[in-house]
Amino acid sequence: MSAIVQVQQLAKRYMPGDVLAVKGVSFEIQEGEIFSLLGPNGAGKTTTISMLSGLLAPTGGEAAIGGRSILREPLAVKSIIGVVPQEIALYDALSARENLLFWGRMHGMSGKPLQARVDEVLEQIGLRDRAGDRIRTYSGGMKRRVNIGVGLLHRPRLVFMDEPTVGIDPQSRRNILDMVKELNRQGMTVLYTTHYMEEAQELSDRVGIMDHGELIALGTQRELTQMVGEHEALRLHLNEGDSADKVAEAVATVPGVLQASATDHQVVATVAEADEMLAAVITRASEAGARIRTVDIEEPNLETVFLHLTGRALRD
Amino acid sequence: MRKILNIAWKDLISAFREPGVVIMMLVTPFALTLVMGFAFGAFGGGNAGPAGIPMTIVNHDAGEFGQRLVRMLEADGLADLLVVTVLSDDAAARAAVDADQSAAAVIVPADFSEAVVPAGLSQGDTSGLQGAQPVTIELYANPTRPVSAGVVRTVAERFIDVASAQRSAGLVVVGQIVGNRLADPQAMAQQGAAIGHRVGDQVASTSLVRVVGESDAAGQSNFDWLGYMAPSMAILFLMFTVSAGGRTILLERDLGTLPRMLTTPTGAAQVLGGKVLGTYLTGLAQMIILFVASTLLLGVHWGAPAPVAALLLSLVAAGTGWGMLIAAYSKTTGQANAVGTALSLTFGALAGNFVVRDLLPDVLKKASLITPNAWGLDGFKALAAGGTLADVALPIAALWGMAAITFALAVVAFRRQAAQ
Amino acid sequence: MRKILAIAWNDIVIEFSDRATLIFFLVLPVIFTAVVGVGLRSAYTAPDPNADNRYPVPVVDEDRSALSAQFVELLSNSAVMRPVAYEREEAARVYEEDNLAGLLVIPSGFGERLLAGEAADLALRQPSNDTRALAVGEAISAAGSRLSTAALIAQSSVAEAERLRPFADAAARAAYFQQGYQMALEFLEQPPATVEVTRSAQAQVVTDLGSSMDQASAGQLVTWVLITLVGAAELFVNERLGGTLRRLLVTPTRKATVLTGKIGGRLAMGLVQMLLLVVIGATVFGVNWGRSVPALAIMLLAFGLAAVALGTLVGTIAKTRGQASGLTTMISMVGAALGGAWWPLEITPPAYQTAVKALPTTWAMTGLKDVIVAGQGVSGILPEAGILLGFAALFLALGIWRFRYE
Repeated sequence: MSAIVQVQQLAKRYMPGDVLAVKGVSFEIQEGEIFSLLGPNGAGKTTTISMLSGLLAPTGGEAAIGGRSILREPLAVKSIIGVVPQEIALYDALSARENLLFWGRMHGMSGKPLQARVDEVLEQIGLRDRAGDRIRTYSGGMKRRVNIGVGLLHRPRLVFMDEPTVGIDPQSRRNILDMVKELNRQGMTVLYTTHYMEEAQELSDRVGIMDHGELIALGTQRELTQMVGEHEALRLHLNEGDSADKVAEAVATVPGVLQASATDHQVVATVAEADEMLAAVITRASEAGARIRTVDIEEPNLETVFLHLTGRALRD
Repeated sequence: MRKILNIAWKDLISAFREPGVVIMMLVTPFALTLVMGFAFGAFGGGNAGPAGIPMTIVNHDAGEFGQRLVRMLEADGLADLLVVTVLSDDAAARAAVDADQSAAAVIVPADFSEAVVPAGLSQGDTSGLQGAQPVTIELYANPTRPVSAGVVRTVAERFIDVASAQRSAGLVVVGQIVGNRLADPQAMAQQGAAIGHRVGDQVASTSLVRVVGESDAAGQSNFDWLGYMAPSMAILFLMFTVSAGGRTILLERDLGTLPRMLTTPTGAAQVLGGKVLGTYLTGLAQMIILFVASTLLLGVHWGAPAPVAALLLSLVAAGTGWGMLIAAYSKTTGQANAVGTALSLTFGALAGNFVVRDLLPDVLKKASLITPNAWGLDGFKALAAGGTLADVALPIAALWGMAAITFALAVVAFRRQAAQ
Repeated sequence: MRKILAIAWNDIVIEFSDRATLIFFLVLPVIFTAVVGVGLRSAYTAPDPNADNRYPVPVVDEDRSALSAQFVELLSNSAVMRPVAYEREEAARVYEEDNLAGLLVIPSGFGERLLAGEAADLALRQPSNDTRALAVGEAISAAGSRLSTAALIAQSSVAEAERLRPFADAAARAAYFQQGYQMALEFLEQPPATVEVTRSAQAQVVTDLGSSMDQASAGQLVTWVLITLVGAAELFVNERLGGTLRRLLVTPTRKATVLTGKIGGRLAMGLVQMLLLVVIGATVFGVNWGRSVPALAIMLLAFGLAAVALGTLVGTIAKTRGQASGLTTMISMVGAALGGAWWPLEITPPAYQTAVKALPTTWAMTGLKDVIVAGQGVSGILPEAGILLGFAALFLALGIWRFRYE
């Protein structure tokens, strides 16, 4: 395998005097893998993708895609990549087919091959029946699928997907995740950004975790969870009205608890062996006034990694 | 180039699919042209101007001329113009005017005939003419119908002119014969009235002085409202279309399709070129549709096809430049919308799209030369009058110059935005 | 009531949070009143006695006879045009460069032919499709007709004399003609009667044909207030598309309250706009708004109600924002133009005048003119105000019936 994306010290400052939105990130993406950038909103994921797709000029650093520099050969880079933006960037006065034809031509496609490819993509996104209807009559999930279809039209070697599942129903989301996996199986490299830990976990070969413009961790899921050590997590679901913060503080004082954090009505404690610590944690939590409804024992996951690295939950 | 065309075509299609846009682009200008044609009687062969003016007359003069005035007003020749009611009471006539049932009341004094031909005249007594003051025919006008009242006044004055001519004829013929001692004064005085009538009728029906019109247009004497308004409304609404076209750049930016285009292997110049061409083609399509529709459906005469086409191409270019300029210096689509509409309407008002351009004061006529509207109106006027390409060379050059300047300024602004 | 006010106020605040609103609300109407007023002024009002506003017309006198001089003298008394003597080439140049209303050539032989009792031509070149040209043509015809009449009278007089006794020679004949011609001109100078225009004591007109500003101000007020008030359509469409209408209706508020609030807010905007335009028109442009403030207020209120009701109805028809704004502009402009806001209805054909009685704008303009130009009081405009209220009720009923709360 060779690196299709090489990013070195890429940085972006929007206005002179502002803080850096992206603070010099470096990573590589190998041909054929699904690489996820995971991080909360505002972590700098979209800015990074925008620089890689030539929309934003980097303030510093360099990146190469398919061996071509994004600074010196932007057009060459753009013909390698496909981009699925976060917002639904389509013309709602046009039909799905017309949108696909338009964007295909923008990628330099034309004639019969374009027609054939549009049919293929329509099939793939499951919208053949309604291809002639205007986009404005579509549901949110259907629009998302066309939005993705446009990015795949010219069979890019590499596709950037920026939070493609934001704000849609579970079934459409399932469809999209399956589509991403299928595309990857066919050989497409995918750069996927998300703030859903589950999506990154399900899809990715490798994950980069971003926070405050920095790439704070990078590796396979296994490598990342090992960073936390062989730790497990105890998740206490509290009654409404209990102060999760207070309980977390109390739980953190239990010997053997490495870390404890609070999210709405939940307290997550990182421990070495969940079975052994269960009783002690519950006792201390009860003493702190918690009325515990259920307790989950969780294997280490990306959420725990994020928690471990930043002391915050992914979705604060 | 292919990508530019692709973008332009997409914009053209999208524009014509929006009912709101089509209403503004085609329906409104056509409706306004129709309305104006209807209002100024362009249909049904009638000439522009008032017709069927309701008026009242009160004749206190038992003599010949009062009667004749009433008969003339009621004559068939004026039947289309005037609808005359004869009343005997001044107050009733004024009341009809006050109630807006009548545009004017003509009140003929009892001594009208006496003033025209004093009673003693037929006995050779010309003393009635010495230092006589003219009598007054009162015209009680309806202030809300100034034009109609003006027409009634003109008709009444014409009648006085004819009466004056008859009287003068009688006085001159008899005066000269008597003065030169060609005949007996007493006998001539009695013939005076008859001579006056005969000569007066001749005078009223013939004119020795003919004004030979050499109008710059072939055979047009009346103002052709439709001929003015069809291009005028098309130009006015072209400005709405091109400013909406420029606005789509901002709209696409907000929608995310503009950045998305830039992720495809397409240069920024190509994208801008496509947007400009799309606006241009949309504007051109609008003008062509309005041109064809007004020519076929309303019979409007725009001029020879080739120069009309040349002028249209130039006009839309200048308009597109303005549309781009507005978009380039607006921050939001809302701003672009407001500025675009405001500018379109102001340009229209300055250049004379609403009132006839000839009527505007010179200052305004000169100031409005910064608008495409003014050059377009001047150009189409010249073409409707049978002008050739040479006659519109100046407007065409000015419009392309305007297109170049506005477009250059727009590019500067777009560059500055892209740099950020 | 509180809620109604809250809704109304909210709408007004939202509307004016966009500074562009002010452009349509105030700036454009004022510009238009000024421009259209100036434009119409030259069309409708008599020239200012202190300045020579008459159209200059180059006159080339190639005849150089006593008669041609007389003719130019007659022309110089015209109220419409001002003859300016030029040589032929110079005249053509001036006519073209300055885009003048006409170019008159008196050909040589003009006077001679008239004296011989023969038809004499004047060559008048004029721009086509030009309203000034008509007036100038009329003025020249009128002066020509005066000369013609005098010549015809003299000719007849010669003929009558000849029947009584033949002239000794051609010179005697010519002298007789000359004498008759001069006598005729003198008599024609003293018409037996004149027309004097009088008007109702309440009438507010200053000049002969009505003050152009009055027509322009009322017309522009109707046009722009219509845009504001029919704009209620956009308001309703925005609310529906934005989901805020549904949200309003899930609060414990009756539908009637919501509707009244929204319509009331918009109406208030329109009334404020009218007030501003009336005040600005009166103070800046010297527009007179009639002698009866109550009559003006009643007319404006009735017109406002009809217009905002129309906007409500349009709001139920339009599906998208684009449609709503397109329809608003179209209905406002076409409706205003049809109803006599852009040009006086009296110059239109009778069938047209009858047809447009079906429009509220027609009644608004008629009523406003009754107040402004004819100086009528409350009783004079009650019919128009009543009809406008009828329109308001009709539109509102249709609008509410068709209103989609979804």
